Amino acid sequence: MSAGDPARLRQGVYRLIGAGFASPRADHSDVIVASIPVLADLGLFDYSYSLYVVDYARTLAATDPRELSPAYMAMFEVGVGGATCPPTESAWLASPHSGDVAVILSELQRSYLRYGLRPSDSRSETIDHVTVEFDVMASLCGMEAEQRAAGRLVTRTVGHQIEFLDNHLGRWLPLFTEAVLRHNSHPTYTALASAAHALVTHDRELLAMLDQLEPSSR
Amino acid sequence: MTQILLCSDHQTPGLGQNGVTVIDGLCYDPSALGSLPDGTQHLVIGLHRDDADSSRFQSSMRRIGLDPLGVGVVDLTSITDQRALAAALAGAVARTEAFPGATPEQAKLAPASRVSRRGLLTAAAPLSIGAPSIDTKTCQADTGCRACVTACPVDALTWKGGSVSYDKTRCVACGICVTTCPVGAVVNPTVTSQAIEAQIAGLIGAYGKPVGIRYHCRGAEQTSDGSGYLGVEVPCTGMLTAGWLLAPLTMGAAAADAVPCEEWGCRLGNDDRIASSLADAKRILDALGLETDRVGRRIDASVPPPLPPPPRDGQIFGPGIEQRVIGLLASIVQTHAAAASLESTPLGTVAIDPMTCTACSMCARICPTDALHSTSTGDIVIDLDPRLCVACGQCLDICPESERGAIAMSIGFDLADWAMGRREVRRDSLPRCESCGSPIAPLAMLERIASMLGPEHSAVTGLLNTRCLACRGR
Repeated sequence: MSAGDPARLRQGVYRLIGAGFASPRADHSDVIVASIPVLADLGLFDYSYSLYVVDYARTLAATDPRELSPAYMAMFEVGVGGATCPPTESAWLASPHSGDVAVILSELQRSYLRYGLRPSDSRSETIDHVTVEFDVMASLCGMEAEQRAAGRLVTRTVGHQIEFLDNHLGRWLPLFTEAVLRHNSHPTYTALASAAHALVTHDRELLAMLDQLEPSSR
Repeated sequence: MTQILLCSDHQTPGLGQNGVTVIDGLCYDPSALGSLPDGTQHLVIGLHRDDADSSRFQSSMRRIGLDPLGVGVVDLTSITDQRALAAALAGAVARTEAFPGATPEQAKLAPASRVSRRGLLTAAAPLSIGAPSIDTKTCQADTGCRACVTACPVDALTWKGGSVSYDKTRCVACGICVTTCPVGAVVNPTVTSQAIEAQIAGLIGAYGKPVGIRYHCRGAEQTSDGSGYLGVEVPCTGMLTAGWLLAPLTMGAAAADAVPCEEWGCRLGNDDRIASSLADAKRILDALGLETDRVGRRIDASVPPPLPPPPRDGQIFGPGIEQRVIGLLASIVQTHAAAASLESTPLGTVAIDPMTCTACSMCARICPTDALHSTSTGDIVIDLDPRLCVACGQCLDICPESERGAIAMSIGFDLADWAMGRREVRRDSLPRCESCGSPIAPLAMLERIASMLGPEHSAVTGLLNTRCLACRGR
């Protein structure tokens, strides 16, 4: 295993979970299930969240692909008075009828710029969508992997990861995943919510420990 | 069914038992776990602690879908005979099968002091250990309880606004919060009451000779050295209370001792706690007329004959263990009149001084076990059940009249007092509002306020004594 592999692994797992929360495509299951052996080679099973990630992949593989789109729509997109479990940060952290949504979105935009990231114009999701925020973490882990491989300092990039989890993804994801688990409307999304929660819970601890050992330049 | 895999190295006696798979070089090659049958739910492995790489084993367990926190690991290094091995395996199987499962919050990376920065985010895989989580439905923090917060030796728990927050990074997973919580709301899945009790029962049942239970830290030597003491691993021996130390004696074990992680003591600095729990366990035995050398810190003497098993039903470990254990030991010696003052065991009794107590009932409201309870139909009445008191001292902390001696607590037990059951400790009349008829406040409290205000404020006092809070402004 090379020096950058744990960060590469985290990049891959964030990407996998992010893809799981995207609107399902025809090849959705195949792509996600096929990524597990690749992640295993990167050391997936060294980490406690692997149990949940593999469980998600297995559940997804056993799911009829035609079930996914209706389940996704019912849970994350439509419903009386809005989606059952809206997959966006602003839906969970902004109070209704206030300007909080704009504040959250502009804070996110500033954070992305600071990290050197720009959401692709081709994406249909808002910048506070769960799949985008997981992709942001994936990108930050990817940067870290490249810096490690090149023997450069990673303090700043790790600091960005801590900041993003503390101020954004880690703040609202537990509320969101708890709602998904509570509604328990489709086993695939229940398993995905568990995997997302396990990954973020683990990473917050891992990064906090790292920060204690060598404070990052946040 | 639980699968059992043992490493054949070092010629441990008795490896070829029924239901056991022996593998050459298992300690060095955990990939053998991959040959387990599909759907294996429980696993016990026997390894030699100096040979095996725990992180690699954890990875291999996850690869076959098992949570490493629920896998039983028996250290074969100090097993010296077939009987000891059979007992250690029976205990490990029972404990493994009682594993309740762990949530992501209950898995924790090994404490930072033991992991280098390089080890965290570079090549080496981090070791996962069990961590506590708080069941908010059971937790009494909303009434003011902060027993776990006070007990935590590393300040990983904080109380704020009626809830306890937990800093996983600070936590060293010593388990002290688990045995301190008076209502069993703090749970570490690797050291639950059910699993410990199942393991001890398994050890005693399989050994076939008088057995001593050796609680040891996860860093210490694990199993029997031929002396008849069989190991039960706990995160830290600092978590052991007198009840935990004495409980095996009520289950058929002849003795119990505690072995910290190092020869010189506890790496986490919990030596005082261990010493205090052991001293209390000895005081309890002494008060009951039993030999005090049945408990100790690493007992070298041979195991004595066990006590006759008392009749019992239900679980011993869990909230209220101290009271249950003393009750069972008392039934063995057939006494109803033993008492002892103790140092740190969660057993206590509360005395209320009716001359200074204002019957405000704050003590009853904060009591996490309902040992102190108040009712206010007619008079206000505070009653006490000493069998439920866990000596947490929160009633002392909250009492507004504690400096005047309104409440006192002593740590210890008195069987005669327990036999009396719940009794009234304070009664006061509750004057009613002249306007709406609602209760105003206990009479003693109104008199106390009047004495503090003095005669120059008699108009205010008069209003306080005749009108409830809602009617005063009308």
